[in-house]
Amino acid sequence: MSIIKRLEEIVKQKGEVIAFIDKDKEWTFKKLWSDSQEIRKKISNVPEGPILVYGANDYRMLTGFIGTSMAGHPYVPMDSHSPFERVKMVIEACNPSAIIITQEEDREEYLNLFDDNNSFYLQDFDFNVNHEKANLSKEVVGDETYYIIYTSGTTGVPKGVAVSHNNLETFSDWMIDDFDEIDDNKVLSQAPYVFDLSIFSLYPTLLRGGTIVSLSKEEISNFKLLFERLNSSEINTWVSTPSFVDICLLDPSFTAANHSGLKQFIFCGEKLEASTAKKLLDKFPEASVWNTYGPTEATGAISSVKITDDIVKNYDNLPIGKAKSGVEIRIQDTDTKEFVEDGNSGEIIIVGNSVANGYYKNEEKTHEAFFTIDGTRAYHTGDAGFIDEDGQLNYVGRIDFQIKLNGFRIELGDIENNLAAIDEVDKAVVLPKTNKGNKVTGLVAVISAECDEDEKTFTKYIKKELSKRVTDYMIPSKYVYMDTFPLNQNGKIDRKKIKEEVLGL
Amino acid sequence: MKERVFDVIERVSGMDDFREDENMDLFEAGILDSMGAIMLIVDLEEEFGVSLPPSEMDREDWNTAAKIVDRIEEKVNE
Repeated sequence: MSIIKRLEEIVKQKGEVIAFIDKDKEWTFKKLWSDSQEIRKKISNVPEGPILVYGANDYRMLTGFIGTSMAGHPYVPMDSHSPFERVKMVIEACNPSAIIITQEEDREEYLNLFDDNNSFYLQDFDFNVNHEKANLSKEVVGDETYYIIYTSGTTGVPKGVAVSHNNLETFSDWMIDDFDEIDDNKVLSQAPYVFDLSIFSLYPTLLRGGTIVSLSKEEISNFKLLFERLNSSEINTWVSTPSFVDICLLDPSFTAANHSGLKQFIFCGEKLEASTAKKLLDKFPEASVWNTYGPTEATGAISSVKITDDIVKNYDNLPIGKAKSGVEIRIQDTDTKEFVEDGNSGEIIIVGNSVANGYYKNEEKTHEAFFTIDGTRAYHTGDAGFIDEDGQLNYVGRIDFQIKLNGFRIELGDIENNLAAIDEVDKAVVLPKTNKGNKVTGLVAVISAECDEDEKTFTKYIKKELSKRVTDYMIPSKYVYMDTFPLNQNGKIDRKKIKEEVLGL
Repeated sequence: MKERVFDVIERVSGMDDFREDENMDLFEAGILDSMGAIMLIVDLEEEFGVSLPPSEMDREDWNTAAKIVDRIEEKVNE
């Protein structure tokens, strides 16, 4: 049965249950279904192809996704906080058949991007019409692409990961079956929809008739509002990056006594530090803490482990778990390309039903990273790891220049190319700053440039220019200027030497 | 006091533009983000021996260098 048909069943059983709640308002499954149907109806004549859903991580945006799936199109989530150039690049890359603008747009320049016959403004729709009767025949099914999430690409142009209906369904079923079973589960939704951690909070919750507890960008960026909301909301399942829970752990109000409903924590998106897990287990002794792992290309996550006191005691670096059913994890030697035995390190290869369809309209990149093993889809993660004696996968680092900062996946080359595209910049190298646990805590840009101004003024200018081209979390916090870059024997920029000079490592 | 607070902000953010304009919005200027603010809290708590629960931090009261100095002075004198 398709995800949409399964959702229809839930709506029949639990129509009056709250499906989505934010700071000000709540919506039942019946309303969610009806509003999504209204969107499906309005876009029913859109020609084949993906539909860009533009908005602010809220209820309206979710109805945009569901309406698009009902109408048989893949959706492309686009955050309304994204810089203009980024939105433009994604539109150029996916060439959407339509754009659904789910929030009132007040920025003139963005409107120019949408100004054609295929733009739909939800503010103009009449959501008072009640669509109880389903009219489904075209919804996304099988191996058809369900969504396309654009991630940082090495050349500075984002790559669209095309995840199929079946990928998303196997992920959702795994979340429903393998994690703690909680009835009327109220699940925290904190991650931006452009980031695939968000699917942990959306689909498994909807398909079990639970409630999505959604935090707005404003709440996430203002601690006072954040804690007011957290302390007045019931949450049973916590889904976030480890960085986000670290913020919460700093506040004395974040305790089991204040959050008696909180039964499980699920983390993904970046390294979970043993110290974070230990603090959680101490503060919430009754709750389970899950660490999970997986790139966007393998649909949310493909491995999980329940972190216990024993694991915290026995591991300096927490393991990232065992594969979900339908997936096999293999380790490939980076030089010989042979698969290695357990215990040996190499590149983590994901094989099985979670591996996505590839990069949308990008044969070349798809070919570089996706392949098959005995007819089964496989993906080169670029992550280095090994499987230990307990069968647990362990993460070691990257084999290339991709990093995770506060859960956001960033190709250093993406920032470097966008820096170099600024007229005055000659060359740029971006270095990750790391802490003792090898977790990335910040970015440093090393730049050689033509500039007559003083460094401070110039840095301000560079940051301003860069902010037009890349998302805010990709803007380095520190800037160092070098007249020329040291080269290695091959005549390439010697990143190691620059790192030694700049970071003193 | 002011100098010590400024030193902490500079150490955490890696920027010093705020020294020229104490009323500059640190978030809008890209000097602080949520994670930067958290590192700032931890370092300020350590430097001044005060307790700064995030839940008391309304961004409106903490978004400039001058305001941060005021907040720390209030805390120290509590």
